[in-house]
Amino acid sequence: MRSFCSQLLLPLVFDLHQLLNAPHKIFDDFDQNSSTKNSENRQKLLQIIATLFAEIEQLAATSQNNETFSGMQEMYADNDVVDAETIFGQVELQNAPLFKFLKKDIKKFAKLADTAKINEDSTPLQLVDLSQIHDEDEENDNDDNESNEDSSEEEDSDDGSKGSSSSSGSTSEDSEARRIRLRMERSMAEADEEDFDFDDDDDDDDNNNQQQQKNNKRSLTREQQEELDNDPMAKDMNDGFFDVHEMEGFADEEEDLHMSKFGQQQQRQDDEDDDSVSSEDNEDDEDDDMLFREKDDDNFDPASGKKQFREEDEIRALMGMYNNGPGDDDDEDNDGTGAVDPANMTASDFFGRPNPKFFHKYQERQKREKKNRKSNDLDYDSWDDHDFAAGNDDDDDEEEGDDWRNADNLKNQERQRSKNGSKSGSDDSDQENSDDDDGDASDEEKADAAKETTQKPSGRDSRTDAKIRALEEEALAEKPWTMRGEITGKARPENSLLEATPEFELAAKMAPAINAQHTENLEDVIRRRILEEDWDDVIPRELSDIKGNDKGDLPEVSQEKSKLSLGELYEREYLKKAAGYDVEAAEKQTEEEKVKNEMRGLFANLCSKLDALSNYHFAPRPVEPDADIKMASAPAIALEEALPLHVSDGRAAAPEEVYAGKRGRESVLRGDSEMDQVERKRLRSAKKRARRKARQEKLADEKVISKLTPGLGLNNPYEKRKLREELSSARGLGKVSDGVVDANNKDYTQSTAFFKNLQESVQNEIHGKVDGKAKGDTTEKKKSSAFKL
Amino acid sequence: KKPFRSSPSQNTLLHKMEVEQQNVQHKVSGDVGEHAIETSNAHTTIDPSVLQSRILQSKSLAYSDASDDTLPVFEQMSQQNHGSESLYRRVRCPAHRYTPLRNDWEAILAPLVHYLKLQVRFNTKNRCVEMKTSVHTIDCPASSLQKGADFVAAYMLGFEIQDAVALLRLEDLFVESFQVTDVKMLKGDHLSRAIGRIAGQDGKTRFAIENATRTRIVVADSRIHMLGSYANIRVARNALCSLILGAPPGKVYNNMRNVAKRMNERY
Repeated sequence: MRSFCSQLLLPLVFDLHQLLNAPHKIFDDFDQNSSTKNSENRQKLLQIIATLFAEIEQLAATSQNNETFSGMQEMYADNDVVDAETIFGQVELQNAPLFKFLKKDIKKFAKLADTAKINEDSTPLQLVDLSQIHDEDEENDNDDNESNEDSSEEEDSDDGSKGSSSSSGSTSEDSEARRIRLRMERSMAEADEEDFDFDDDDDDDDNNNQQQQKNNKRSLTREQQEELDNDPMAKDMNDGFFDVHEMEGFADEEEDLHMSKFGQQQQRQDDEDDDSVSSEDNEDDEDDDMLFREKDDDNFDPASGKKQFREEDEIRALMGMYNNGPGDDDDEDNDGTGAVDPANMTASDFFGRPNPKFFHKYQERQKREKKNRKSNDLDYDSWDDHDFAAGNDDDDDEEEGDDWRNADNLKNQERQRSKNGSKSGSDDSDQENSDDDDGDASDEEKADAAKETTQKPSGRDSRTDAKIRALEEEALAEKPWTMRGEITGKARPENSLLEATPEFELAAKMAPAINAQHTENLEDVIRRRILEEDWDDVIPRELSDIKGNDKGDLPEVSQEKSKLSLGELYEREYLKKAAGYDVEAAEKQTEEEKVKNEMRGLFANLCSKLDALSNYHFAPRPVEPDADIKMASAPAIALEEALPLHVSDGRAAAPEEVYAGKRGRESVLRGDSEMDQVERKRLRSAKKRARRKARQEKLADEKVISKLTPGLGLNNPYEKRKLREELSSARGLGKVSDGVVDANNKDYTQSTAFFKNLQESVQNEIHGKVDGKAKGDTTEKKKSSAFKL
Repeated sequence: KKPFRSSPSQNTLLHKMEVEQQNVQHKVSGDVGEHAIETSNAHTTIDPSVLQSRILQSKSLAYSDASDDTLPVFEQMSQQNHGSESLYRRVRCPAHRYTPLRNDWEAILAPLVHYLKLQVRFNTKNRCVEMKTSVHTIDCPASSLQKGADFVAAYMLGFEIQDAVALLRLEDLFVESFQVTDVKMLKGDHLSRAIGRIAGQDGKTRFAIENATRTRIVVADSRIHMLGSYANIRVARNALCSLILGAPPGKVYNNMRNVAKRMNERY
């Protein structure tokens, strides 16, 4: 049974190791390979599980007085009949008590360790009874559960602690050596014991290997225990769930993976040395290492010569969490209790200080990157000026960029790697190298900067100077008139106001621009109004006086003692509010009104009843008396009432309202400058004519006055003026008639001739009338025979 | 027998404690600016654990009353007694209300006995109206007793019966009292004129305020009592305060007209 198991297990364990390191690969295999291999694998696995199950049960039976874990002797696992769930269920059934058992053993071990601390020379400790170990581990590897985690972590911690021991070995050489020696001795003793215990298992390579690992681990745990004793903090943290050393080991592993390839190689050598010292044969381990190497090469970055386990961004973010340098707050570290403000907490407060060496590394890399970027920028700027020869000396780890630069970089890296190889394989080499880089880069940068300053064209300076000078002049010069506040016509240049566009406010509405559109709109309005037969005139607007209205509306408050009690007052208020019944209004109604209201109600009631009687189908609703129908087309002018309160009516008056009194030429406002030559002449001649007429009238009046009252003469000016006014008023009333001079008769000089003319004219008048009649008669006396037909 | 009275010093102290216990020191809303009056309803509240009285007093009044020897101070009654024993209140009758009380006794008695079913008597020896609940008292005995006490206390403050009865009918009516000197420290003729302004010629100003704000106002020397709903009392107090501060009555009258208009518009 056991030999079969080992035969089966040996290749499978190998596979498992592979599987654990790269679980995705198995899926790939499943995808690619045929189902035959799949079923083979399945069968193998089933077999292994079954055997392991049986073994564990046997072990339980031996150790626990014939009591099995699951209550079954063997696992029920027929090929192709049992599905994964049943198997898993059975394994679970076994695992639950197994887990308890393990826990108990671990506790025991812890106690033993405590006692062992006290008496140094006690027998070496065992975590679990060794007869169970390999089975457990295998079992746990096969199915995924909590114990699996434990075992795998333990393995990890093995590797990690090895790494840590090797790394710390450089710092404290002698103590470490002593420790290793002790550990070796212990492990040797244990190995002897085991050989003695399991003679029949000696041929089992796998078993041996497992034991070896366990030995290592146990010795390490011993060593860790010692460390724990020294460090109280670590002791606190070591609560059985987390293991400080496991975690540290893991972190160290991580660190080591970050190191350069050379460093890694060195590390591996160290490991191997360690192994060779600690154990006799370690083929499997070496195989593992080989596997690791192959796998690790996937992530290996040829350009940087480093293994990139994290992305650049992640590293930066992580470092950002430790925003202070490692040396910044040592005092906080020393406090230990660390009353840190939770708001200002950093990762360092939470997880503790990282190793300062990583900080240095990170910072230096940052610096280098920055410089590279800078130098690149410069390169881009001055592509033509770039010194290729100098570029060869330049040690930048820039991965992206142009081809020529990449080639250079590769060369440099190779050179650097070879240099590193020659040096001792410590971290310091890398650091020193980077330091050198820094120095080179900074020197070059300085030189570049100097070159730039010297090469800077003087034209730019002169241009800026000119600009500055212009700005200064502008600032010192006199300000334009628009910026000088209140200003008169004399102070500003000619026509400047016309050119400027000053802003000022007008309370009144702007007069509409008279254009084709405007007139069209007007015509539309007129046409619409004609169609609607809307002949109403513009209603003059009335601005309501708000103050006066307010005062009038206020009710008078009685100054008499109220006849109602307070309860009644509130009762009425409530009635009005809730029921809508106004007691006061009802009381105020006169007898007549009450009766009228009653009558109205009765009549409405009667009407509705009569309607219902007279019309079977249609009963018109009682007419609402208050329904007020208004025309939809209300005059638009009513909408324009909105005038600001502070604007007076006077401002709103239209021009025709202002100049309503004058007509004709006077109604039009026109300045002298607005008139042309003809208009001006016409105005002047009109004025002259008016003046002449006035003068002539005045003269005529005076003549008349002097004729009427010659005695008065022209001595008394008051009398004269009075007479003239009377005359003018009489002329205005039309009482004065002017005599007309007969231009035909010139014989007025002699009285005889005058009278003779008078006589004649009188005779003519009399005879003329007679003649006229006679003439008329003669025409009527014409006989009809005289007319020819 | 429980002691009804204690020494004067202890008396005031007790009263202060009582006032603080009640924790009903309304801070009058800041309508009057810095002349806000702090009020309490200590006047008829004998047992603070029972119910709060609706008669609010300014602090100055409460203290001045407390310093009066004649005011009885009762020991705090425990809640257990209320179930079995009948509750008991007494309201002191001031000297100037003695005759009106005698005249209106029938009218006072009617609502207390018929409506609230309380047992009422007038103790002539200590001049107190005493009332207690009986088996006939329906509703919540404590609340009806408190109502009755408030009603009688309002009458004692100088309100007419028909107005004071409103306290029994309506739940949201309150009595608020303050002194003229609470608003402004006035002395001598200034104080007299301020009181005169409040009353007005033939009480015109007071009636105008009463009618406009639907409240009842009693001006007793420098003490002013107002009866009405909370919002209305506030308006009336505003008007009275502005009068005390020296506003001409005409202006206050115009304000009252505005108030009346707004009150009518409310519906």
